[in-house]
Amino acid sequence: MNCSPFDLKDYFFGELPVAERSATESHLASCPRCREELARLGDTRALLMSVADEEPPRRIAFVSDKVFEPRWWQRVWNSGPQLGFAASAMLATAILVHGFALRPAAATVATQSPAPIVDAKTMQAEIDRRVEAKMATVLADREAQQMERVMDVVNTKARLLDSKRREDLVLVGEYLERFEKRSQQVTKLVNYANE
Amino acid sequence: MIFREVEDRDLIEQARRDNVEAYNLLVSRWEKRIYNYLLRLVKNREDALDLSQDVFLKAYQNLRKLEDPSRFAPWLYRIAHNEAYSALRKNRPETDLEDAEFEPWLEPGPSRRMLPIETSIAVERALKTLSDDQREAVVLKIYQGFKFEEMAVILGCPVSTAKSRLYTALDLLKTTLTSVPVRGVE
Repeated sequence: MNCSPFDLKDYFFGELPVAERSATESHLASCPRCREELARLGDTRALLMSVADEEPPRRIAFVSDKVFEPRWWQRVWNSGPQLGFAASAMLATAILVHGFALRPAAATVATQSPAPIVDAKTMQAEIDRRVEAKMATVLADREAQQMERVMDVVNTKARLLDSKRREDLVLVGEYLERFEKRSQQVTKLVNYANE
Repeated sequence: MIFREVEDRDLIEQARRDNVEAYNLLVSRWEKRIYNYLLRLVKNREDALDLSQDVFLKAYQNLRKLEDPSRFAPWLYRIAHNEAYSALRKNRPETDLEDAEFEPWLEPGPSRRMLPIETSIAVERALKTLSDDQREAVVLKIYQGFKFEEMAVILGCPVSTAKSRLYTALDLLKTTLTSVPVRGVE
């Protein structure tokens, strides 16, 4: 306990307002007990600070992952002005095509063969087939990437374990060497005692 | 410190625009502090490194949610606090066993002065006697130098609670450590 008008620990950590800080300093000038308490806080902090920070064993860094980056059409889709421009361009093209290229000519109408009629079921089947093919490709890519990452982790862990095992073997060797020396010393002492 | 905050803010803005290199620079500035904060909480180097990576990944994913970039440090430590406590809860039985170990050869002798390595061990032992909450308060104030207001943000508690945890811990450490005679600390 201390008799300071304000909390000595708040003062110690520099968290007192100026006026309270001055009052505490005046009190400290005339109170040996509070000075001693303050000195003990300083000692405690100095001891704690004697345990220094460590460097991380490995640096942390991130790489840009192309898999998660938006594709060009996603960027266009997500940006209002570009999407508006694209829509206007498509509309203009449609008007031009309709106005010039698809104008019906009387002489050719009779000779034109009728447009092929596409069955809705056939179209749906074709769409399904293409979607499935695309999905299979994407899934295979993702699985390959996942496997690559797993192998990276496994290899890293294996390297760590191997290095730890080597360190342990060195330690065991050192202990054996010390043990052998001790045994020799003991043998010498026993021989000396027997003589 | 002001320059550093300004530069951090600039890097945060760039990282928010998907500039990974800017984010890596930001990580390189904070990784040692975050790693040591986590190391003092979880007491295991590999776990501390894994948690540090998770912290920086979560921070990157949520960088756009950080309203005030000048409050990056308390925000980042709040993420680290959550990750550490989640890990501590998961590993609780092992941690308790480790804490319960008795190492008589580490006890300081009554009359001799301690070597620096012995001091480190004594400090680490003293820190282990604290509860997780108390130890974290000590780490944030003594080792990381946060103000009480910032500590309250990181710990998700009122300022008075953060202070109370720290002061209780300091009283315990004072009793344990100031009886230890150490070279250079009179």
